[in-house]
Parts: sequence; structure tokens; C-alpha cells
Amino acid sequence: MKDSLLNNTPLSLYIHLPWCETQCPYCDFSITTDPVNGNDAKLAEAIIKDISQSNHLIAGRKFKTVYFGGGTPSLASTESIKYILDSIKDKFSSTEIEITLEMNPNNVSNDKVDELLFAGINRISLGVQSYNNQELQALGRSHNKESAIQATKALKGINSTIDLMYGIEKQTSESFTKSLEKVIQAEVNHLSLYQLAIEPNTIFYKKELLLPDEKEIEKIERVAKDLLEKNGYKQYEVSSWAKPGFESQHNLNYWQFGDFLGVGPGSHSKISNEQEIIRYRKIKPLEGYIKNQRSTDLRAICDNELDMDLAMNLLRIKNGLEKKDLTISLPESFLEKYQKGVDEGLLLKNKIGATKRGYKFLNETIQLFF
Amino acid sequence: MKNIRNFSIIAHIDHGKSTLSDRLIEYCGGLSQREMSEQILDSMDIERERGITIKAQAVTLDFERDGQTYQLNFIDTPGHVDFSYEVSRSLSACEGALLVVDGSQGVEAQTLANCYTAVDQNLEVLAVINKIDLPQAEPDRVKQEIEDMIGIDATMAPLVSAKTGQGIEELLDLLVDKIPPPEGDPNADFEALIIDSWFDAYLGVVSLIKVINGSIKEGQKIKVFSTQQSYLADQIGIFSPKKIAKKELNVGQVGYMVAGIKNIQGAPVGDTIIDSKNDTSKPLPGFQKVLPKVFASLFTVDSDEYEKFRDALSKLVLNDSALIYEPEVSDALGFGFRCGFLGTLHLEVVRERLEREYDLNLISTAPSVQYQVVKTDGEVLDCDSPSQLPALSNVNEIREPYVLATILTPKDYVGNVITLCTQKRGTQKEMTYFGNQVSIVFEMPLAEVIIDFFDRLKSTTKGYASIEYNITEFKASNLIKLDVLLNNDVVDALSIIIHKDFAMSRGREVAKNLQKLIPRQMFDIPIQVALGSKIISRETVKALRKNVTAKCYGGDITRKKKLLEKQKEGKKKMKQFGRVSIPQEAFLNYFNSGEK
Repeated sequence: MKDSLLNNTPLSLYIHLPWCETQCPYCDFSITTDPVNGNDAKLAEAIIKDISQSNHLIAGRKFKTVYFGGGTPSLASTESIKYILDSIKDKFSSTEIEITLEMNPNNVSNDKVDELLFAGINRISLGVQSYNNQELQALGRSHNKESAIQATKALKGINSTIDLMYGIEKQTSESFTKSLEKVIQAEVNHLSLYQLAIEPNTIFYKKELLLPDEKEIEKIERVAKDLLEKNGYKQYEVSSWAKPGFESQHNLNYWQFGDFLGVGPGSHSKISNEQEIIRYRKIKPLEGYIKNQRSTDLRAICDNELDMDLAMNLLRIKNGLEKKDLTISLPESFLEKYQKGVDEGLLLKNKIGATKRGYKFLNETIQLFF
Repeated sequence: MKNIRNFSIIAHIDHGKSTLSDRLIEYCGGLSQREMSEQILDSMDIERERGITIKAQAVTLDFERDGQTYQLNFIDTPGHVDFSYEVSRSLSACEGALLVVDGSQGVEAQTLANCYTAVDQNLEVLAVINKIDLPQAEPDRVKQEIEDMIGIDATMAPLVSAKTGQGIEELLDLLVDKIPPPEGDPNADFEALIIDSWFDAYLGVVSLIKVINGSIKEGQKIKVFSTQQSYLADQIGIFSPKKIAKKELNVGQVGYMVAGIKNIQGAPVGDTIIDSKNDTSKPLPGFQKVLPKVFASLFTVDSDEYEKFRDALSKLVLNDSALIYEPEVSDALGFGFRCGFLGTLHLEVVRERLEREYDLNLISTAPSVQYQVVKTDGEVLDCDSPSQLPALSNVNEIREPYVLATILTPKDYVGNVITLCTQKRGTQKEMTYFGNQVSIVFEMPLAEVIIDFFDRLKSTTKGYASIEYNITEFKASNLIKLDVLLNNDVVDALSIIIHKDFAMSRGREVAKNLQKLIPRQMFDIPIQVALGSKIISRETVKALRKNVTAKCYGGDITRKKKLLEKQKEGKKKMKQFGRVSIPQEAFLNYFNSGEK
């Protein structure tokens, strides 16, 4: 396919910066605990090279959003981040696109935030997880309650989102409520609220954990819903809450089945062209990626898999999507399976999305498409 | 003929029969070192994995001594109680048997029963003490036990280790010296006995035969006595254990015959083969036909696989003449087959073979015995499934099969065994002490033996006890049917017939078991156990509160996808009953008592 051919699928850019101070026991992302040690400049160089080598995949499109994820991107120097953004500015669809960077509370200071804003970042995602020291310790996080509050204050007035976790060992609905109140007091306009999931290949997987029971989790979820709605937040996705107009454009693009170009070690991409949709990822070792930005695991999504992928993304959007807002035409096989879900009361009839019940059992609902 | 020795090995499971066979084959050079794989004779996957022998097999070995070559025909036999009919069949082709006893354990019930069969058939029984390499081996105690319990002289019993090869030569010497050569007239008309027949995809039916009189030549026209059908014996030969073609099999020899027979009914086990021109001969004494003792229905999880299942069964019975089956329809599970088995192990083996060799997912109902139902109008029905039971108002009496079970156990566990058998409605008939071993004879209902008796016997005696049983008679019993309702509907496939005294406690167990075995779903699933219209026990599988993964990875959905795919795969192995998904293991285990 030639670059000149028009591709209408929206495209986002994901940039993976892999450094972390420590390995969190629940994390299964592609990270390194080696010190940054000047490698951030080299990685920035490699990322810029990677993007310029991806012109055939970008296919003339402009990036609608940029997201620096990790790892802990705030460990990289602001210079390297600015260098990347400066080098790709001409590929942005406008001067106002959402550019997010993930930060660890320990790295947040007024100066650092100012530098990042100057570099072009306009949205900060703060990995707080909890404002309770005992819970932070249980999660193996390097920050504490004080630094979390400090960081939250420093972000006041800046477009930002906070990550908060529940289902942490020894957590109660009371301790969770206290954490959530801190988020609300900080007046952030977006919240990622997710339950601790024990993934294979993590430290937690091998441990016996005393996690809060089902009833406590339900209580927490109820408290969260009440408190957030009372304060003007609306859930628009399984784990995302926002004040109106502050939904994460980058994440919405995933769920609406847009394309994304992933650069940096271990990052994933999804690119469609007129014939097919492909997924691939970049190699994981940092040194290797700096030398050669090789792709691996490249595969075209086959028909049945496309149904699954669509379901796994589209159905996460709360209250569904109007058919006219879809950027992809849904395959016949998808629609057949969808109808089955409608019949079972799990899927919405007039929109693409799950009913209240289907949303509660989303894993079951999605399996209709497997 | 004077250099032929036909023999079997009688041994309990795990007493080293298959390993000993391997050593004998190795010693006589039946296979090169390269071809030796552990437990050669157990050729089915299941046989190797479970360490059991299911089908009889034969091997011809050449043993050289003092310039003479002896032809040793070794017929391997199964060791499990379910397959005892195969044993008596194999024995009838032999003049002698090796009684192999584990030197560290001693005589077991099954060995005893088979040994009596051998003695009854006038076989020369030679005791062999195996596993002599084990530090805990007590050959003298075991010898004494053999003499006490079986009554054969064990003073000369060779001490061997099939594992290390110790004593194998001594054993072969004794075998040649003590076991008599076959009798028979080399000049008489040809007569052979079919010991076993099995179906080979390429050759058709292959029969293991013993030439009783005369001889058979390659290409000879033969006749199967019972069907009077004639065939051409295209191929004859021996197993070494590789198949070795021969021009002729002579009197006393054991070997194979392929005669273009298309199905196994064409060459029934125990039948006589004669020359096609011979029409005066009487048949040789055959074997008693075995009857199934345990019945269960098998259904496919995916109802679209019914045809495939029927096909698989029809192929499987080609090799398993003891398995019987007929179509059945269940309201809950759809189309399936009611099958008769020799015992619960046979049931398990058949199910596993169908799943493995024919790639099916099967559900089996609770095993049942065959009851005799006397109706009010005097008619007597055979009934082997709860669904066949007529309405109780039409029933005068239900009779159930009773067995005489002989249990051998070390004396420390006598109390445990008696407690267990009494719980299982058993009546003690006899108790005999043989040194450290005790033989206890109980009369018990067969229905109690087939449901979680073996496991409980093993665990209550730390694995030492062994059992052998035979059906003796039918006796009237106070039996009733328990129905199970899931989500308020009766699942006919879960009904069981049990003794009224146990109805309440079993009802509770069944409900509790099902509650544990059925995974939580999107809605509450009430489980009820009913006696007629009366609910005697209820439990609930609580609905899942939610099932949603809140996390989303930077565009990487592969791991989540794998997880969901795995869940979906698991669900495919569950039977859909209305809205309720029931996993296979629920059907297999819901009727077991929680006690171990």
C-alpha cells in the first residue's frame, strides 16, 4: 500500500519509556530497573528513528494523541522528552492534541512539572494508587502518603489524572474512601480506578495474599460510584472516570478501535490498512531496541479474532457507542454474535455497548465473540 | 512339542508383572536393546500410564539350554478385578502359571482368586518372589504366606528382581523343568482355540490362537465353529513380541492368525477353529460369556458430536467385546448411549479411550447396577438405570445384586475394613487369619461396591487391602430413587437409586458436592435433591457478583485475550443444561461421599 493512499482510521502514538526505580510486585509490564544512566538520550534518538521508519504504517495520517507510558517516564530527563516531541511536531494533527505523561509522585516537583509543560506535555497521569501508607507498602510502591499529597498539590490546576487502586491487601472501604476523598479534594478532572489483578509473571502471583473479600470489594465500588458521581465525575469506561469533557482521548482511541503506533521497547501497535489489520510489538530489551528498533510478533488479525478484538475494546465503553460514531464498519460475523448478546439481555439494542447486566459480567459478555 | 511351554503370569497390580515380562523378553533376545521400551506388553497409552494391563497378549520366546531350544509362549494377563475374565481365558491356553508376589507386600486378594482359577484348571503353579532388591523385602514371610493361603509349595520359589534382572535365569530353568509341555495329537485333525481377537485397522480381525491338535498352515482354508463361516488363513505367525510370520503353527503352539475376518463377532473369543472340510468335530470347551456388572450412560458434551461418538463406540467394541451399549435419550443431556461395563475401572478406561483416541468430550452418569423390579402385576423387569424405574405405585419389590467380597488386609486394618463394609450395608461371613494377613468375607450389595468403595478401602488401609468379588444372588431391598433439580428442573442424568436408609444423608452429600462442583455463574443456581415430590436437601450456587477486568494495558490485549480464550475453552467442556453450565467432573464426582 502506498503512503499516499488515504487512511481514515484515527491514529495515536504510544511512547514507552521503560525505567522504574523498583519492580512493583503486581506489575507485568515491560520495564527495567537499571538506572537511566544517559540511556534516555539514546532511547529518544531510537524512538525518533523508529517513527520515521514507520511512515508506511502512518500512511500520511497525523497523530491525534501522544502518550508517554512506562515504566516511569518521569525518570527520563525532560530534555529527552522535549527532544522527541520537537522532532515529531509536524506529525501532530493539531497544536492542541492531548499529550500525556505518566509520573511517579516521588518525581513530581513544581519545577519538574513546569519543565514538562514547556517541553509540550499537557496532561499528567499520576500513579498514586493509594494515600494509605500501609497499602502503599503492601503494593511495594516507593512513595508514601506525604509525597502523594505533595504531588497531588503540585498538579493542582493542571490537566491531570490519578491512578487509584482497590482490592489492595488489608484495604477496607473506609481506608479506600479516605484515599478517594484526597483525589476529589485535589480537583483532578480524571481518575483511573482499577481493581488489583494478580497477573501471572508477577511477584504477587507466587504469594498468598489476604485480599479484601467480595463483599468488601462491592462496598468499595459502591462508595466510589456514590462519591464520584456526587462530585461531578462520570464513568465512561470500565476503569475510567472523568468530569465532562475531560475523557482521555488517547484511551478512548483504543476502545473505539482506532490505530496506535507503539514505539519504545516492548510497545504494542495496531495498524489497519485497506486490506487488513495488523498487530505487532517492538522487541523488549532496551539495549537491543536502541541499536535496532525491530518489530516482532507481527500478525494480521483474522476474521474471528477481529470479532474478539472489537468486543474487547468497544464494549468497555460505558453506555455504548452510537453506530454513526464508529470508525470501523462492523463485520457480519460480529453483528450475528452481537444479536445473540442482545437476545440474552447482555448487549444494547440500539447502540454498540453492554447493558447494565452485560457490563457487570463483561468478561462473560465478551466471550460471546470468542 | 516337548520343548514348548505355555505359561501365564498371575500377579497383583504393581507386583511387577509387566517389568518381569520385559526382563524375560530381554533375556531371551526377543527384542534388541534399542527396541526395548519399558513395559512392552502394555501397548495402550492408558495401560502404560496407569500401570495396568487390560488386554491379554502373547509372546513367543526362544530359550536355549543344554543345546536345546525351548519355545516359551508367555501369555500376559490383566491384574485388575474388572478384567478377571481375561485372566481365566488366558489361563486356559496354558499348562502352567507363574505366581508373582511382591516380596515386600505379600499375597493380595486378586492374586488369590486368579491363582485358584489356575489351580482349578489343573495348571502347574510356580511361586516367584519378586522385588527382592527392595530393602523391605521379606521373602521368608511371603513364602509362608503363599503356603498358608494358597496351599502350594513355595520352598523352591525363586527370588528375583525384575528391576535388576537378578534370578531371571534360575526362574527360566525352573519354568522349563516344572511346567509340563502341552498335550495334543500332532496327527489329529486341526483344532485351535481362540484366546483373544482384536481389530487391526489394516489387517481386520487378528486372533490369538492356541493349536490344540494337528497344525495349521499358511493359506489353509479354515472354519469358525460357531458361525460355520470359512476363511482363508492368509497370515499366521508368532509374537516375539514383534509379529513374525510362520508357514505353520503346530500342536501346542500359541500364535496369531489373520483370515480376512471383517468384524470381531466373526471370531468370537473362546470359539474353536477347524479345517473348513471338517464337519464332524465337536467344539472345544469355550469360555463363559462375561456379563456387564456396571452400567452408566455416556453423552457428548457437544450434542453435535453424537454421530462421531456412535462411530467411535462401534470401533471401540471391535477391540472390547465386554463392552455393550445401546442408544439412550435423556431429557437433560440429549442423545447418548447406555453402556454396560465389567466394573468401574472398565468404565473409566472406556471413557478415557473414547476421549483420547477419538477426541471426544464425554459425560458419564453415575454408575449403576442392574436391578430386578417386580411389578404389581407380577412382571419382572431388568432395570439398570434410574430412568427405567417404573412409577413406585406399580412396583411390588426391587431386588438388587449382592456379591460375596473377599478382602485381604494386614491385621492392623481389620477394624477399619469391617467399619467400612458395615457402612456399605455388608454382612460379615467369614474371617481367617494367615500370619499377618487377614481374609474377610463380606456379603454386600454390588451397588455399594461400585461407588467409592475401592478408594475408601485403599485409604482406610493405607493402600494395603485388596478385594475380589463375585455376584451371588439378587435380594429384595428397600430402594428408592433420588432426583436432582438444578434451577428447578429435574436433571434425569443425575438421578440415583439408593437404599432408603441412606436417602437423607446421601441427599445432603449430593447437594453439597454439586454446590462445590458447579462453578458460580451469572445467576443463583438452586440445587435440590428430591425423594418423589419431597425436597430433602437444598443448596445454592451463589451468583457471581461481577466478572469484569478493570485494567487495560497500553494497547496490549493479548494476555487478556489468552485468559478469556482459556475460560471459553473451559466452558466448552461444560454441558449446557438450560442456562446452567455443568462441568464434566460434576457428573463424575457428585455421587461420591465426602468421606475418605
